[in-house]
Amino acid sequence: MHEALYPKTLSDVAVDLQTDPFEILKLLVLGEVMPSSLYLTDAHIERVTELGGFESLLDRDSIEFQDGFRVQDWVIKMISVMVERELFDSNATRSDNLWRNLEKQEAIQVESTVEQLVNEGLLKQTQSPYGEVLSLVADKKDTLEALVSGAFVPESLAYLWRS
Amino acid sequence: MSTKPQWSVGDAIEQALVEGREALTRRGAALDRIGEELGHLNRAQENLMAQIRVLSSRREEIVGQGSGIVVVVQHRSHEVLYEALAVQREGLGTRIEQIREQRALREQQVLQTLRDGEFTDRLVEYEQFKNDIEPNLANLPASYRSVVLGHHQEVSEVLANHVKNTLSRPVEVKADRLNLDVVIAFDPVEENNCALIIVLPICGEVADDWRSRTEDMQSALAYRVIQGVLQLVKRRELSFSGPVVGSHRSFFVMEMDLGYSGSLDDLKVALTQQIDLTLHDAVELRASAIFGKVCEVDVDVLLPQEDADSTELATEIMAEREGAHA
Repeated sequence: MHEALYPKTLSDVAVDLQTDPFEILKLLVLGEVMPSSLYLTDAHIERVTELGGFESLLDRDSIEFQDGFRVQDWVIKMISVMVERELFDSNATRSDNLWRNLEKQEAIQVESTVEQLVNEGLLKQTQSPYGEVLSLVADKKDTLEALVSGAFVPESLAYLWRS
Repeated sequence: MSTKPQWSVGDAIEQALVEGREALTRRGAALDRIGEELGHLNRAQENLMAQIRVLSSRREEIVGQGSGIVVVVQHRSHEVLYEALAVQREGLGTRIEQIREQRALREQQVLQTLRDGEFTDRLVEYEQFKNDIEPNLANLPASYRSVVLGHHQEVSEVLANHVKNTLSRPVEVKADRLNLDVVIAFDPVEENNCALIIVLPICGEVADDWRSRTEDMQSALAYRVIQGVLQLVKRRELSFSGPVVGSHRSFFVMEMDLGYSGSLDDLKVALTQQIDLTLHDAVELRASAIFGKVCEVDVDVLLPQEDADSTELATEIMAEREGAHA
């Protein structure tokens, strides 16, 4: 009952941010905010969140799924949010922000679909010192908007859209 | 006046023939002696050639054993290295138990101070919320819920400040010095690029099961070693990928690819000094009398060829991690 009052460990923060403690450690050291003890204050957590670019781009409750989670609905909504926030080319976001706060199986589905969109050349995935990041390909803005409006379906994902 | 014996032509020829026969006999005898000598020498030569062949063959055999002996020595070094790490891990396990007891005691004491001191009322409120209100929070009207949550937040903050200040201080353990080896190896991949491999005397579960484990001095050692590596990366602006962490022979292993300028020897010295310094400065390790020190070994001793090369190790670690996450 009293554990919530205890200081936060790297593992506690990693669980909260859906990453692993070694990633948190990397952010603390490279961001030069490593505490002397291995416990993190609220200020450390805030800084790590900012440095790592951890955020939820989409709230799961913002989509009303009729018969359970549908990956294509989530991905389309996600891309519309990314277009709205102009996350093109070098303006990227952490890859795991695209499936943050989803159930494990749902997250795996989204990750796999995102990978297909990268293969289709609609999304771009790169490595940053703070992890893997994703952005929309600016040259494909029209195609991406068509995908959001439903006027276009990537060939490799047609089977998924039909389901 | 002397007179020569009378020689007839026949006698003279007979005498010449006798002398000729004697010369032929001497020649035949000389040839026989030389032939015999040559026979001895030929046999001696054959013997020498046979000895040369035997010795050459033996020499090649011994030369061939050289690489085998190196492999045997590496294999033996590999085995004793992990045996030593196992002993150190056991020692650390005992130390962790001591720390856990002290830590539990401190947790009890801090809660007792909350009950007895100026925080008593707030602790009662906190516990009431946890026991009675929180389970039924969803049933409360939204506006009331918001007020209740706001108040609980305030109470929690006051209590947490006190608890965190006390519990984040390192646990002091009165015990003998515990020396641990941080075993590192460098595998030059290409020019100015190497794989750094580190094996620690702690369980591989620290890398894979961190969600279900309570952080302890095993986690602390792993974090501090990686901190040291990253501090050098930051200070020297080295290019890197990783770290990738996992389990090898049940021990915690970390691999990181490092790009560097200058010599590899310079990098080795700098990295060793930085990790040693970071471990020395780690408050929780010092308070528990745990002292880590870098020990560099040949990569073939840490990971013999038949086990895996560094690239394969990274793949192995990644596969294990993906398996653990799946």
